[in-house]
Amino acid sequence: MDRHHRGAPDRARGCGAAMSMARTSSVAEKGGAISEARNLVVSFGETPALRGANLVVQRGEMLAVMGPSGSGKSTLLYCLAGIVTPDAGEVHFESQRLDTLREKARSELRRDRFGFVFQFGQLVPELTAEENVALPLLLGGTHRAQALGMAREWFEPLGLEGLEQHCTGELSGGQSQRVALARALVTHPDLLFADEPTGSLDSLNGELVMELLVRAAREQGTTVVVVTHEARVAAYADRQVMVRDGLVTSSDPAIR
Amino acid sequence: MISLGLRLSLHSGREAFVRVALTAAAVALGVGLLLSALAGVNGLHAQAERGAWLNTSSQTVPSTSVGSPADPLWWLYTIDQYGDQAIDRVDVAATGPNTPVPPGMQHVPGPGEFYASPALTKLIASTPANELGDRFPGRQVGTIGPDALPSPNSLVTVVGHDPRQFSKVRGAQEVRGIQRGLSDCYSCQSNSGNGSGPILKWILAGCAIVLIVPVLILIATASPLSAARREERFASMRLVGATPRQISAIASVEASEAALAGIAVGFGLFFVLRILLAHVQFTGAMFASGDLSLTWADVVLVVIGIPLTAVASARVGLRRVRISPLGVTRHSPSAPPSVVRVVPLVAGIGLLAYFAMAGKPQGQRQSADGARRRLSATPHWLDDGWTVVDEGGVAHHGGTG
Repeated sequence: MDRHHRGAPDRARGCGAAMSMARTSSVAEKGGAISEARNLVVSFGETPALRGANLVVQRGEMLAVMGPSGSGKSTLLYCLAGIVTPDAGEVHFESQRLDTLREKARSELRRDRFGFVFQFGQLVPELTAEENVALPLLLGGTHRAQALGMAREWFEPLGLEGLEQHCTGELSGGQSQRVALARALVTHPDLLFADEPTGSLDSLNGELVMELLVRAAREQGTTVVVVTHEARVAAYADRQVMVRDGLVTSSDPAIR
Repeated sequence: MISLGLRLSLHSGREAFVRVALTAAAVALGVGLLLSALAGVNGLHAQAERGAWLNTSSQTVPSTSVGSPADPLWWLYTIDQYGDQAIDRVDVAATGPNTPVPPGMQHVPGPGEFYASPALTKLIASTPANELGDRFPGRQVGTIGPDALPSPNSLVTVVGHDPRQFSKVRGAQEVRGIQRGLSDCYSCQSNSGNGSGPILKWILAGCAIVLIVPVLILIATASPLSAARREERFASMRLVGATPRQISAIASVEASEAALAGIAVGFGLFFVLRILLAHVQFTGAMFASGDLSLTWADVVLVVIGIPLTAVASARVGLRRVRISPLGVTRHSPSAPPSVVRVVPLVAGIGLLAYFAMAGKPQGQRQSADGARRRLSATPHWLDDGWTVVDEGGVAHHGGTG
């Protein structure tokens, strides 16, 4: 596996091989904020989504953002990921201010440093499963053959072997979500954002996806922010925060 | 991005294939028509150049290539009529050995001699002498070469006279040089049906520009096909880090691909249309073989210009939507495409078909006027893509030809 591709320099990374030489991480081991939201205010028209939300994401942790529907938890995640620009407040990723970055720079961050697993996978239906996984690499300029090779390495550990050439329309919901997970992990991101990653799956598939996500993220040392309203999903996290009415109202200590 | 764009457009399902095929077909039609219009412009120019000598007047500058000063040539140009056909007649009288010789003949015909074009020679031979041949006294000493004829079917004659007698003929003028081209022509608005050439050239050039519009409209018509799915795909790509520029590049590749395929087919279409166009008598004169040719500039204009136009059209289409990683939002509701958008293309094809059907041989001046009237039925484009046919609008502003 190429460990020196763009956006993932010199880190012990991998999927199959990396999984076997897993290094367990914890908040205590890693330490330091990787991402921070300060007094975020976001409104969609007349509807306020965030009303001064604050959140610190520690490097290496798995953080669950919980809250009822419409509480603003997804908006908070989008702000942290640089997808939504807040009306007021600041978003920091490592040492840089994310909310003032130009669109190109934010796109490059999403491509090289972040990973995404959303409720419906957001796969490109015209591409095969392996092309979907390789997409961030292709967009980053990695040679096609190399990118596909790197993508294929994720199929076996995520239980997708044999599905490389399948179009996404031929995959089940669980398989699609695992392809999305592979796509999120293929660049060895520093920060993985998951928005209701099991929301469209039955409980069995949901658990499988979460277990794979947690395992792969921990082995890679990837920080995970997962938005969910399901307690069983949040239970995988090191720490949980609750969002209500556009504010982060509580931050609970690690569960596991 | 090019390979990714190609991969996406070529394997994006039936709907996307139809969109690419429709765009390619639109471009092919547009290119075929555009090249035909450009070839028509070039053809008219070639005709006018070859017939420019008929515009010789007392103001024509003597050729500098002649070593000794030219002896003047008595010159009188008239249009004769036989049935509904016009005959360009030049009566000449040489005054010395250095008299300028009109193109397409070995010498200036002397008294009792005349030259005639092949078509006129044939017509004289097939017509009773008292109806036509008797108009040209003396004997035919040769046929006028093709380089001096606007068209293979041009009826042209040069009749020789005695200079002392001819100098007294009303209208005859002394010339010291023969007009060799259009560049320094003083009175090119007259005779031989070529007078309409410059006007027709401008009209055809206008048509060439106008024909680009149907290409744009058909591309715009094809664009909404599978647009929602395409835009969702772009949104997914934005989520995993595609920059707006990369999305634009992929859309451009898709458009270019269709445009390039369309150009290839369009050139094939042009070679078919050229056969039809050769029979269209815009000025009442057939095109000679080779008249309907393209210059390198024309080819470059089309091969580079059309894909660029297609790319620009695709980019404009993308500007109507905001593609964010979370999905697509439209800046303004777009009206569903209607059949009306195809009207301009149909009108363009109809225009060419009309010329093909209606371009029968007629008297040249009459034919030129008719052609101008027909061409004046050029579609005028309005902002919303609707067309209005302004019959005769251009003729009001045209010269007398």
